Amino acid sequence: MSAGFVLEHALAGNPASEHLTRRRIYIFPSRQGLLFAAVILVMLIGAINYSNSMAYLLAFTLGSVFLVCMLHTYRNLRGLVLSIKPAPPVFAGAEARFPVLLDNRGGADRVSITVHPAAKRRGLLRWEAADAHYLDVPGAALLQENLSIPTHRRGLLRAGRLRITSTWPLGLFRAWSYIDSDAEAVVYPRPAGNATVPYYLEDAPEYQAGSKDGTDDFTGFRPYRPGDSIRNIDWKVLAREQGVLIKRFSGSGRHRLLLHWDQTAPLADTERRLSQLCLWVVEAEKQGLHYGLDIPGTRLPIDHGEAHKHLCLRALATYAQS
Amino acid sequence: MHSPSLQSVSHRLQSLPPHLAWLMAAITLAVLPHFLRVPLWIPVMFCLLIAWRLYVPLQAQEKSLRFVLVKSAFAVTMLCGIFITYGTLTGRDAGVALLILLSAMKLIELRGERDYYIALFIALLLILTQFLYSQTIFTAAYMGVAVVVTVGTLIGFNDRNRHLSTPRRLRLAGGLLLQALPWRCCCSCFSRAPPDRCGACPGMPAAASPASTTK
Repeated sequence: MSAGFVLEHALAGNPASEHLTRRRIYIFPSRQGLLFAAVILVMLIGAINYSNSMAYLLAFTLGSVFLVCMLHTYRNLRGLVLSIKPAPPVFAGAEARFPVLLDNRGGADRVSITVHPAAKRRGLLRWEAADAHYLDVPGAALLQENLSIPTHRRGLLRAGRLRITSTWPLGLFRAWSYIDSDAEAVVYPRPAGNATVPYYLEDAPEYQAGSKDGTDDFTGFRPYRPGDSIRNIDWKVLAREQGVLIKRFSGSGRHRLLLHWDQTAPLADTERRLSQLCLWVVEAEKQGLHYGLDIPGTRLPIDHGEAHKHLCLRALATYAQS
Repeated sequence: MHSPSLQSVSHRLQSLPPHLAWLMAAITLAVLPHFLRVPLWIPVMFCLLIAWRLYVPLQAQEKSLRFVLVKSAFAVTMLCGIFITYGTLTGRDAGVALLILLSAMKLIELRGERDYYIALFIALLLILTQFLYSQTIFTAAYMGVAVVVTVGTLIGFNDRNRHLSTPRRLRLAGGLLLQALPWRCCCSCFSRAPPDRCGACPGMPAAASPASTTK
């Protein structure tokens, strides 16, 4: 682990959930808030100039509204409890959707809150992004939303630092707070490549039909060939002196393959090799084959099924990453 | 016939996006008292611009040359008209006329969030300038309503998912203004503004200022 990673870990608060407390909510006038303050100043100058008491009244009232709005905007975020869960795995290039749980069981209605990754630095006085997604959290309610973070490379994607923002009710102030989250998403390499799935390893003794699975069905005989496993010889037929026959089972012995790192040797680039292996794993699972994975650092035995596929893909995603 | 045109107006109003409808309501409320006073051509031009906004879909033709030309024609007419009527472009009356027509023209040019807020602030300035002509209680009450509608429009801008109904929104606006009252009284107590008609806020009476008590 690099020092930077350790430091980030040490500074992160409680990774499971974050309670937005008084200390951690920041508030500052938005751009239109500053414009509003300028307009109030103009009103005040006009009122002083014309010595008009009603104008003073309006200017003072709007100034007070400005201050009261600050409290309302702050209150819109205060007390909200957020938890971020790990996202289901995705392929590189797709969006990782982290479930975010907003716990508002102790508070009043909250309106127009956005949650987004804090990676991009934007100015303090920016306008809201046009594509921001706004959430309303009703009072005494739990809300689950999905936070989409685009992925570009394989590996483990951490949700990292998220920013929660709100400008409710009047848009004159922006209140925001940060959450540091440890929730991770496994990003599989993008399946790509032109090489065909390598040939099946049909006759290697340890992969022969019926040698291990007790659930395969008996489907007939074929003559003995040198090299066949002797465990499958039908001894009763041999005892009747009718020749050496091998029992055949309808297990998927014909469909077993081991995906080896060396099979991608023609591709020089590590990432392309991983993408090729990933494509093979996906194809193998789709075709119902039994497959295993053998890459430096990980060896997965031959198996099949969704769980096995995810194990293989995860091994590919985390290849050579500390 | 009279009723079909009224129907078409209300139909157009209902087909507007809610933010725009509220904004037009706020601006119209702020502008109406001024119409009793300004020369006739200003309300006529204002109504022309509002009608243009209501009836012509503006998104498609924002960039077209014809749009720019018509807009410029309106702007030039506005400036010339004000100059001819008032002899100047500054000062209380000319400034008010300028604000009225600027607010209508801003409605034509609503391009982003920023423009909505600017249009609302122009409406607030229009409310203020009405007080320069009339300080009766009736004016104050009417302007109170206008301020509530303006604050309600601001609330609507920030209610992105539009889950607040109109009565709730107005109640929230009224609540905000009521909560602002204590602060306002504080400001009034500490300022040197001339007192109200009733002798109370917005400022301490001039007799209490130190300058007049010293001999």
